[in-house]
Amino acid sequence: MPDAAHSHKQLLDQELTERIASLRVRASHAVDGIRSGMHKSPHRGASVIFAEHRDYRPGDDLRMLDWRAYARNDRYTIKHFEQETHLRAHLLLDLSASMAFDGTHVKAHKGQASTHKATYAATLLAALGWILLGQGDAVGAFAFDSDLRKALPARNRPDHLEALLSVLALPVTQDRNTLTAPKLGRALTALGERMGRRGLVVLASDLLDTDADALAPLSQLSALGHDVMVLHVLHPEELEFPWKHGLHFEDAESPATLEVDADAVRSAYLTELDQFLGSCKQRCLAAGARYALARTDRPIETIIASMLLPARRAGWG
Amino acid sequence: MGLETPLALLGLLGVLIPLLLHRMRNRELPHVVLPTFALLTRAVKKTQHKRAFTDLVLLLLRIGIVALAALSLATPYVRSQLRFGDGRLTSVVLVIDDSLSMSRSDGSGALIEQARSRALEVARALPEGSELAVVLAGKPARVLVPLTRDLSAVQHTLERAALPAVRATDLGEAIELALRQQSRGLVTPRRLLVLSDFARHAALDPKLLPQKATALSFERVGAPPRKPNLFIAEAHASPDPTRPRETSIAVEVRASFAGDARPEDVEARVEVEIDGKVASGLPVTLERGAAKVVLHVPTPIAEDTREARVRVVADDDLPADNQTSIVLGHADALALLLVNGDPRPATRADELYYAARALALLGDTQLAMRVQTVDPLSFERTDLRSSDVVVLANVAAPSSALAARLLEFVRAGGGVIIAAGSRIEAARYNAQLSALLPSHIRGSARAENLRFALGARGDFLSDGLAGLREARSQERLLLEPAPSAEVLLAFEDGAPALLARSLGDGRSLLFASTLDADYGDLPLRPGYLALLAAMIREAAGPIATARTHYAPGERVSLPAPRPGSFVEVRAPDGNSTRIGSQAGATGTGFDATDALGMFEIRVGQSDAPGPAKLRATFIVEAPREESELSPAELPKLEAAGGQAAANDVSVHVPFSPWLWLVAFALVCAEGVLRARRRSALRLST
Repeated sequence: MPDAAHSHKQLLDQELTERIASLRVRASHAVDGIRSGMHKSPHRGASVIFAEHRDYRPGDDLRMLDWRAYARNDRYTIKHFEQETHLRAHLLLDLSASMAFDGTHVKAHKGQASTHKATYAATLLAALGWILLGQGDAVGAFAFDSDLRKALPARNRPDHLEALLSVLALPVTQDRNTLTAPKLGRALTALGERMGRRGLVVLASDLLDTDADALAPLSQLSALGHDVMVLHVLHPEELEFPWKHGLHFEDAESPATLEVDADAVRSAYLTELDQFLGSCKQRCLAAGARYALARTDRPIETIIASMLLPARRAGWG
Repeated sequence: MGLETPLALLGLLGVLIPLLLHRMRNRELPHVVLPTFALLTRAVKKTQHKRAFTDLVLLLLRIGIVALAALSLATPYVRSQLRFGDGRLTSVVLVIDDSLSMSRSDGSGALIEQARSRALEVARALPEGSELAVVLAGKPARVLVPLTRDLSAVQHTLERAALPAVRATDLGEAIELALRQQSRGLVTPRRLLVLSDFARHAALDPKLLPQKATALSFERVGAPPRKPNLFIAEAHASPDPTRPRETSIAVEVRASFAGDARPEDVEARVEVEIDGKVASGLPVTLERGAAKVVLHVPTPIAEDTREARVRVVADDDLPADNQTSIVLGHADALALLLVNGDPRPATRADELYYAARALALLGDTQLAMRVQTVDPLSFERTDLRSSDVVVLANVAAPSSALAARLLEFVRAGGGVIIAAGSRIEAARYNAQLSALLPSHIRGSARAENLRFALGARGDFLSDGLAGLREARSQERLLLEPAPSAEVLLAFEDGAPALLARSLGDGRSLLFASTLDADYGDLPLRPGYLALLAAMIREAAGPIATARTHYAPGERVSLPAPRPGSFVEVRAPDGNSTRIGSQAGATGTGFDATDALGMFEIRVGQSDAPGPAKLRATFIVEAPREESELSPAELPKLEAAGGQAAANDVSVHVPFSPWLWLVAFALVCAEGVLRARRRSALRLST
């Protein structure tokens, strides 16, 4: 297994930042923010854009009471205005052992940092973070394997990028026994508890987990108002199964091994893979999350650009 | 079964090779760490069964290939009982008896079909390179397949050949024909196999059998008959003077008994069927194997012609000879107009005294005719269009008008016969009928017992001068033949006696003698009838055919159709054969007579619409001798000095080529199985 550790400077080189410099990330729906920004806020308030009138309910800010309407109708009416806020984005990086796969056959595309799954995912999230920070949003990061490895709260300081990259550059775990316990579901649940106000949540993972309900916490995040994006990171060799003849396969996350005639099982493997991808996409959509397959042989900016486009055009689920 | 090189079976140890190779798959394999290992595990579980099965099939195929190769090298063989010959190259001629008796059924099918099957067995048993010919022994014997090495072509011909089996037997001639065929061959040894029921009627003369060089085999086809075979020995019809408008049909039924069985009384029924309906029928008891019965049927009107099928209803093995046909009516008869130039009723001096009687004797079997006699005065007023042939017997030269009508009549296809006599005035004849006559008449002259001689056309009289040799002439017309005239008969001094000339579509004949006894004793000689019939036939052209009974396969001679016309022969089964006119041909023939019953000869104009007109009929009837079905002894080859040839020889037949073929098929199957698996995998990716 290759060493998954990498320098955080390698994640975001100048060439990549030049390619993504013109990109902007917007949440697909309203998110909470402290400062005004480019994202629609669920809160009405101090803004110039009138939204609606509604009856007063206990607990409403009396500063929003429309006195003129009260004076005329003797009714307590709350006046709502659209509020724009900055985004709190949480980047979730899967560093389980399965993310250390860098393939044996496929060459990397030009402009791609590496075909290493974890590196590719980290680079993808780093690029996103760089864009979000650049447009004034607060960005946090969570690295996890079977547990939370490291958490970086969402902030928007000038030196926050360095901290963000240091989290994303953490090495992949070498523990092959992570599969013995469900990792993804537990990590997502823990992360959901740590996230505060609703914002953007971007998960980069291969979604390989023994627990069929590992993606269930995504629905909780959506229910809390988070705009959830799932980047399903897979290596081309995982998608194409290019091997031939007899091979001794080892599980990346367990000691299990299997001697297989690759030619004989290719068709069945690809069928299983299709079912797996379809299941992941369906579960994400059911959870209210957006889904995209991120092949590690595709340029980073292509994936990010697709995030910025309307969901159907970009291939987001 | 045995092995020629058993040691090669050691090669069977080679089956261990694929087994070892199969086991060697568990060698050290490259390691791959796969994150989607769980998916692979599920895929393996799903494909494990199919893959294991495929691997097992491939293993078995490979073991089979090695085993078959080893087995083939051991050259296995089986003992095979050849249905004919000894497996060596041989020149064989098959003589198949396709006579009527071979249409008998013995419970296992018709004998002719059994013979065909046996012949096919022989053809299949011969090794490639052998020579084979097939000769049919139905009379006349003929070659079905000339000697050839193309055995598959022989089989093909044998399978498809129509073998109606209606003819008489001609085994002797068939064997001669077979030997002539075989003499063209290059392969030895030579064998001749005769397939026949060898009934008594087909007994072979041992002297005719080959003496050397050719090994002769006889195989009797079919089991001997167990029941008496009834057949119609004779049937003829005649108007019954005691029953107006009825025709009596006399039928003789006979029975042949198997072997030496004592003739016993046999009950049967004789019926006459006309137009598919039974017109008359009577029960009959055959005492000592024979019985005669007379049936009556309505006489058809003169313009009608009907085929009356006479049959004996009996349960025997050979139904084909239980039936024969009779022609009723005269629609097909020749219309003959006799002009009596010197009528002296009821005396021998009458010009037609002999001719009328001769024509009555000719009967339907030689020449079917409707005869009308007129005197010269009536002739002037007679419509010639209702006649086919006009005979001017000692008639004075006609008027110019009548001469013109005669000329037109002949040009339109009619026939005119002018016979000499005291009323023939040469000068007037030459003047009035010069355009019609085949000769200039110089006059008449006395002669001293002149005999007749054959003319330029040898086929004019079928029996030649037989019956005419004794005829003497004391007087004759002196004729100077026209350039276009044919001399059909001459006098012994070379002078023409009978001249013929074509004119338009018709023909005119000039006879230098009389039809009565004025110029000689010709009418008193037996050849007179044949000469008279030949003259009428010659004048009538294709429409004149005797109601002859022919044997199956016999050639029927027909006059060649005139230009612009055709002759159509309609067989009993309704199939028609059309014969067109050929330049210069005076006669033609019809060979397709392998069917029993009435054949119709119709004549039509090529450019005229509508059906051809019925002008003659003839009957093809079963050869009577074929009804004798009792088996005869097979010819004694020792007495004949010939060589008996043994059949059913046991030979070693190696089948290693087949094993190689199967091994090749397994190699292909193994390749296909591997390729399909790879192809499916490629497609799936």
